[in-house]
Amino acid sequence: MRKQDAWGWKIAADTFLGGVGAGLYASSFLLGVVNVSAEEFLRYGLLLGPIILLVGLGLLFAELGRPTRITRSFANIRSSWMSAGGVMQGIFIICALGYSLPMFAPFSWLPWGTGGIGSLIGTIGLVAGILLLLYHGFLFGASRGIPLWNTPILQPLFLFVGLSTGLAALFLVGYGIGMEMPALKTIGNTTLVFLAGEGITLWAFLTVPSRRTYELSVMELKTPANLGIIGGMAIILPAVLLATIPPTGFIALGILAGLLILIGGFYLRHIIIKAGCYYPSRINMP
Amino acid sequence: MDLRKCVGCQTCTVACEVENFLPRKISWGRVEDYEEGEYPNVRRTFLPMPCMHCEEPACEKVCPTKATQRREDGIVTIDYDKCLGCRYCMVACPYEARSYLEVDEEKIRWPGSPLWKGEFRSEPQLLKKGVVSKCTFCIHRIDKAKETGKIPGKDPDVTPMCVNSCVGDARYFGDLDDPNSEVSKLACRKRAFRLHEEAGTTPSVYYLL
Repeated sequence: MRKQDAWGWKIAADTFLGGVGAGLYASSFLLGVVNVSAEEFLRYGLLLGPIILLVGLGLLFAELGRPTRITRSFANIRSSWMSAGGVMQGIFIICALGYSLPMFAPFSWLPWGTGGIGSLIGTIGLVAGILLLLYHGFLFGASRGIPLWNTPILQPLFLFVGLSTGLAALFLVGYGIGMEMPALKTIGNTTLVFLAGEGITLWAFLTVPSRRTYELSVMELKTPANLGIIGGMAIILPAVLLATIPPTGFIALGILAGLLILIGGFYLRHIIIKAGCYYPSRINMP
Repeated sequence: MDLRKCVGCQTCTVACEVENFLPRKISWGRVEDYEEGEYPNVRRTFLPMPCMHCEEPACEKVCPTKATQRREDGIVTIDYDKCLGCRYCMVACPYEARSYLEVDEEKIRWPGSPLWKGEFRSEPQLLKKGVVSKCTFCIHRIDKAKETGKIPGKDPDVTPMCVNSCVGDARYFGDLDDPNSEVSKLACRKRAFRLHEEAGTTPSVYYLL
């Protein structure tokens, strides 16, 4: 079996930053809706989400062989997930920035504000953001040449990874700008829920081999070092740290948990891309 | 491809590279060469791996710019003027049939060779930096068949160069839609099979065991 070398760390970073950006925006928006009494702070999450995604797109741009032809990438929306993803990202960036910018004084002159039409724009951004979190799974899933990626489990896995890394980023941003303790605890508890979802889907991804090639590719992910990072360091340890915050009130544990979730989220995407192998070009002669 | 006749000489690989003026490190018609068994019961197997020109090409579906298209005659082509160089098609193809040209062709031509002159090849087939390329079944030769009335697979000058050059006569080429063609009859044999059918791309290349 030969490993794919068409896609590398830049694609991993692009999808990671896309996941963090969309997850950060979606979690900030939803936490604002359920009223965690931190609207003043959540606006930073709403603004940073599309900016982080734009940084990821910059890396994708650098990976393209002919970046000046980027406008052509929307030509095949019907069958190419890359085209569809391009449209989704465009809608997300426009709507997320359109919703968050009027919350900041230099852009308060924008006519739609944050209520009415502004809320509608923000909600469209939320839908686009959640679709983006699923999109990465579909993007890889359409790669018929790589059995490891050609699985429907990647969609929920990337959804949960995107949401947990987005919340981890929100926790770090919130802590940095002085968010109040109850709001940080709410973010921590919500992150725990998504970490559980990530753990379950990751377990399914690693233990439900559909084909022999898939099974062989997964073996690389199951080495003690990789399992230690993507399972232990990125899910179990942060979950323990976050669960320790409410009884101890030691919020710094959340900082460590957030950093581990982010590092683990990137490593997971990177290792999935790196472990992708083509079908073995072999036959058994009679 | 009759695998019992293939001797693994790689003449087809070289003939393809010369015919299509491929730069170094780019090969459209590699032949896999591997050993099976343990001494003294060892055998070598050669598996030619060109583009399969699938009926349901995964590369065409994923291409965001529609640079990859399947023609009416079944040949899958790439328009280098539309290719974005995203390499999505490379991870979509179950046959590793595609190559990415990372540097300027001028820099990787065989130095001093009189063959490497762009004028031999007409646009848009001239390879460019930052695009993906693959076997075209020597489309420039097949297209001549329409003008001359010759038959690909029978007349050498309208037949892919890998077929012409095969020393073991292991390659056959023709119209699979014609039930009376030699390739259609060979494809119906019991020892005919297609590679990685589980990928669901319905390849047009058949192997004979």
